[in-house]
Amino acid sequence: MSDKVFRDPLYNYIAFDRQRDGWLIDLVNCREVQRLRRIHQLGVSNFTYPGADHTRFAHSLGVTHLMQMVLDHLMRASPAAKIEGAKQALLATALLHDVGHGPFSHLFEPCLGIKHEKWSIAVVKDESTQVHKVLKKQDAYLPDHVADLIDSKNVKHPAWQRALMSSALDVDRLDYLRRDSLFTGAGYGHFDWHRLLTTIEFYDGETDLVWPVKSAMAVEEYIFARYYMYQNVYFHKTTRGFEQLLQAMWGRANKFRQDGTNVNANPVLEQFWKTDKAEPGKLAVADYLNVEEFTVLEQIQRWTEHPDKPLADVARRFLERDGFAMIEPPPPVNALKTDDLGEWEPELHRLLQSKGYEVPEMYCLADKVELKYLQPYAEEKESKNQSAVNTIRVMVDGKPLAIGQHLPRLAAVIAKAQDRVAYYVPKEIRVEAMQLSKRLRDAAPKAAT
Amino acid sequence: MNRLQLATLLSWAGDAGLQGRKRLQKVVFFLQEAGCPLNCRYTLHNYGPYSRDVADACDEMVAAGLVNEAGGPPSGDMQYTYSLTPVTRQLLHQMPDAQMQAFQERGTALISENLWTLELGSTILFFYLQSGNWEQALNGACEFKKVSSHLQASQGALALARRFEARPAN
Repeated sequence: MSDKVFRDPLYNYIAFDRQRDGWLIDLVNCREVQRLRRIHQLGVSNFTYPGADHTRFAHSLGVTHLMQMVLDHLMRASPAAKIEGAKQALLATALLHDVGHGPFSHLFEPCLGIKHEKWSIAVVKDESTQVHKVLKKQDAYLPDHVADLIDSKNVKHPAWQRALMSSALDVDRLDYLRRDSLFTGAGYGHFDWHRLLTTIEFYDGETDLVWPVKSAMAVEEYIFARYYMYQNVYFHKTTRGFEQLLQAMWGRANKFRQDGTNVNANPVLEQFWKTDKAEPGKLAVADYLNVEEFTVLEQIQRWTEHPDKPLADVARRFLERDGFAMIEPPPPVNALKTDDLGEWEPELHRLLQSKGYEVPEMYCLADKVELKYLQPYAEEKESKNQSAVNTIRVMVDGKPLAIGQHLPRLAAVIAKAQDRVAYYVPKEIRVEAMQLSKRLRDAAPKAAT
Repeated sequence: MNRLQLATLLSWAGDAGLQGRKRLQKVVFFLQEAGCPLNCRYTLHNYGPYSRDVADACDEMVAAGLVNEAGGPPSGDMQYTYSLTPVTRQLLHQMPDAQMQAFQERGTALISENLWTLELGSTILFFYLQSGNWEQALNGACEFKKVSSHLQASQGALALARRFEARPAN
């Protein structure tokens, strides 16, 4: 019997053995997995990089392929029985880890008030889903095992199983860095992924994973690839600006829903908004999965005709790619309270009102980027706190050593950044907003940082 | 966890500072479970509950010159010690965090607690949050840490964990 083969731009062929892994092919064909074909891997990054139209589906297949590779390697290098018992669960987890993503992936989560991890678990455990039925048919315990591995807090399975899927260097990151690099055209995601996958080894029984010192350069390349991708793609200011527009629209609509104003919701969102909180158990899985990117885009199109001028204007700007300009605010008033920017927002609101923007909060959008998302790789400093989950380590003289200690030259790349706040305002007031920021910056007493 | 919260916590350690990143991780975990709104996401590591948010908050304040870091590698086995700079003490004095101050007594006691008791106790509490059953949590955590649940130290860790159970189990 021939393999089931997918053509893939990264791996050329992704093949599943029909006889051995027929159930995995059934899983691919489930409607919940097929839905991932309609979710952009990088949200609205295609507003910046026109080629970034790749989907969660292709990524999930890629992650499954890499999981297959690393398990084959570990089975050759370690007692095969240990791997064999978890193999099906790990392959299914690789394929399903993103099955709970909503429209536009991560960026839309604050709009809907969801966490995709929780919904991935719900899709796997809900008896009504096709995914659940295929898993259960294969093995009655498989749905729970897969759900446990998706749950970052699970304590029921050996740490190496979670680390392969979610750690400082895992199959998820290995795929998305290269895939995002290829499709954006940014060209930064090159590293020796094959070596990383085929030299990984167990440490301390089955509790941990490390790399041999001969793979240190491949790890270094991987960290640099992450650094470049974060700097150039994931936090591109134009993309972040359009994300802010989406969130502003949704915030306005939520406010209207609370005070009883008609938001002209389409039927799918009307159903979604019937529950107070979009959490598994409160909202049916089917109602959650019905919210697709085309649902959201259709809703935004409706809002271009909404009687509320700011909502209609921002909706139009989003669809026409007429974004805002990014402005750096003045530093915080007290270095211990980074969200207190003093007179900045009130003054900016006054400026906007003087220019005819009657609802300034719709035109003064704060983008707060947490430190952990700005740093390509952070490692735990104390060896007694290290594991594969928080630190990439290579074996030196029989002991695991953090890559940052083994290669001190990495310090410049993995140095700690600071939380970053940027503001987005209409381009028409960009110059005046910059002048305001400078005036407040110059007037501020010199702080500790 | 924001800068003000971490500065407040470190101020409880006094001039000697808070010794060890592992200790910091566990102290924050316990305080959070007692209801202190630190909002750090924890996962289970080899050495018990661990939060990247805590590590980041600490490293970021060191990089910003607001917290002193002493000790640590070259060997890799050494512990770091964290204390506030004089400027940070002054800033904290100008802007005390009333919410955090309500936890000062418990925080100070945790900072001086035995490190193994913190490590095993936090692991027991982590398991309890999954199962909602103290006996299962003790046995699960002791199996995870490869120690006997009958040892006096294990029972001490269990007692500590139970004192910090504030939220209902999942």
